[in-house]
Amino acid sequence: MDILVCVKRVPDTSENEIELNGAGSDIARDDLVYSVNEWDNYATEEALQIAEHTGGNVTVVTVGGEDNEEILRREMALGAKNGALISDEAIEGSDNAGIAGLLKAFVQKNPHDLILTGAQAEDGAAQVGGMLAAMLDYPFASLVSGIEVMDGKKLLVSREVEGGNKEVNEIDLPCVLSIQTGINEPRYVGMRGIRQVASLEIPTFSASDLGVDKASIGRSAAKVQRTDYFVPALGKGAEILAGSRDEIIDTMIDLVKAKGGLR
Amino acid sequence: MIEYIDKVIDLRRGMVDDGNVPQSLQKPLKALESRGNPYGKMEKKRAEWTLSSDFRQSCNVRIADSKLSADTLYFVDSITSYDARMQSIAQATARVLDHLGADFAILGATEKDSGHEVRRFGEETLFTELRDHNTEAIRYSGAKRIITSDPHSFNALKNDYAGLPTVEHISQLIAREVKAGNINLTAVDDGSVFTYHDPCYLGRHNQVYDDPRDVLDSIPGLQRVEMERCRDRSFCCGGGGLMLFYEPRETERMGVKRVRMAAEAGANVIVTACPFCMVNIEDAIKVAGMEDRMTAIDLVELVDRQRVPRIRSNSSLTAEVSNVL
Repeated sequence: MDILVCVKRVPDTSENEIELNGAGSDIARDDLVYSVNEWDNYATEEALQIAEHTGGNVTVVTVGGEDNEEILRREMALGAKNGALISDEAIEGSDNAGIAGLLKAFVQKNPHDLILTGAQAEDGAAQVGGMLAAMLDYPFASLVSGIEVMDGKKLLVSREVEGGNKEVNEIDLPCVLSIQTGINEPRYVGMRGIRQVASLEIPTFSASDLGVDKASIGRSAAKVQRTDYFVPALGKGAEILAGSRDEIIDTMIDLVKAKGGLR
Repeated sequence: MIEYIDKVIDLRRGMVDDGNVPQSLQKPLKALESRGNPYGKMEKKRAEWTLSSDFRQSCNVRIADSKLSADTLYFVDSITSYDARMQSIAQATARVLDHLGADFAILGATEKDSGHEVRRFGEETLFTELRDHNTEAIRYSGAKRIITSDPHSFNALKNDYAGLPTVEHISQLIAREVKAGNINLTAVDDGSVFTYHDPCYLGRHNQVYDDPRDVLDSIPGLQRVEMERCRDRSFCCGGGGLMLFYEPRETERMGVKRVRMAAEAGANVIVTACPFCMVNIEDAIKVAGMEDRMTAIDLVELVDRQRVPRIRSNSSLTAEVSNVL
């Protein structure tokens, strides 16, 4: 089964300081380091494990600029056979529907039975997977935490629900799945592995290569537009309780009761 | 004699190539690759420990760059630079170097992790990148000698790197200067009983056993006992490698065993000379429930605490004053 994984390059948020840039139009990006979106990495690992079982190749695709090649190479170092970059000046300012439209065009030119996306991007809105499925008119399952390949072009997909339970559904291929973190334990990609894929060919596709009308992408076509970026005002700090351990426990129980946390 | 460490490292190299690295270690390794430290913290914050207002009043640490070179480079390395507790080791080291009149600087944001743990975890390619980067930065600084307060950095710079000026651990420098009379230490007379814990990469791997002990023994009135497992038979605190980021499965932590050994030897203060040891030993004291009868201190912190401060005037006057004191 050939599998397509849509991946995104995102800024590392954990230790980066996220600040507004001078114009207030975006975050300041000079000091940031980027990597592949964590959910997408789980998706690629999952695709690789499925392909190892069923045979077939994994292709990773991303929408962005030249800088995005590095994450494609990273996923290829992980084991993906092919990478593809969708890049065009006209893409600037697209909303997620615009991005999904480009991916849909890519899929139509490069049919795949199974398409995976991460459930969301660290800087995203968890939209592209669902939109892509709708545009392709493929069945869609979100927040997938387990995949089992059945005979006859079907999958069993599971999703975590309350109480640590799992909900299992059957879904027909071809389909789109958005993948939840923790679905597997991704293998490690070392520097040596990355060097080995440094000179592999990664084709780039413009909007017209994909047959996408430039009028349907970009800022002017975006139905969702960003109007503002701001840092929320700081609220009161946390309250640190003082006293002996028993006193603190008593105070905590009172506070939790008062806020309705204990019946 | 069977040397097993290099065989384990070779096995790990194979595992890294296969992508078989424990999940909890992937994040620090990636952070080392992208930010040059296992915490993923920003490069520009590596020298933040020099900027706290209290510290700056006692000591001004210079950063080697195109306009400034210094005789001595203090290679701080990642844990001492970024960990809030270990930064006090960096500050103590800087004050002691200052006291000794050393013309020293740090690399600051240009410094990357020495890569000591990275190599031992089998990520050889990442190690060579870190090593090449640091080697160039050190050479560019023009330093004629390197001092470090971390035995892991000491071992890496001395044994894994090539083409560097001489490297010493701070305990070696202090021992020498104490014997030369260039640093006077006040007495410890509160009844504390000290024991020195030999860090693996200072002791067993580099045979530096006596210098730290000589420093302790030069402190008037300091009572010191030896643990049964000491010197080349020292017992690891459990912190080496990226083990700070990896939870091994064990019934009792090595650090806990170690602090019990210290108590058995009759000590209530453990002196160590390694920030990794400090993390594990301080943690183990809490886990063992021994906070009321055991503390830990780094050798440099102790020296910084006990030293008779120099008055900032010309050097001959300073020497006179120290002699009188």
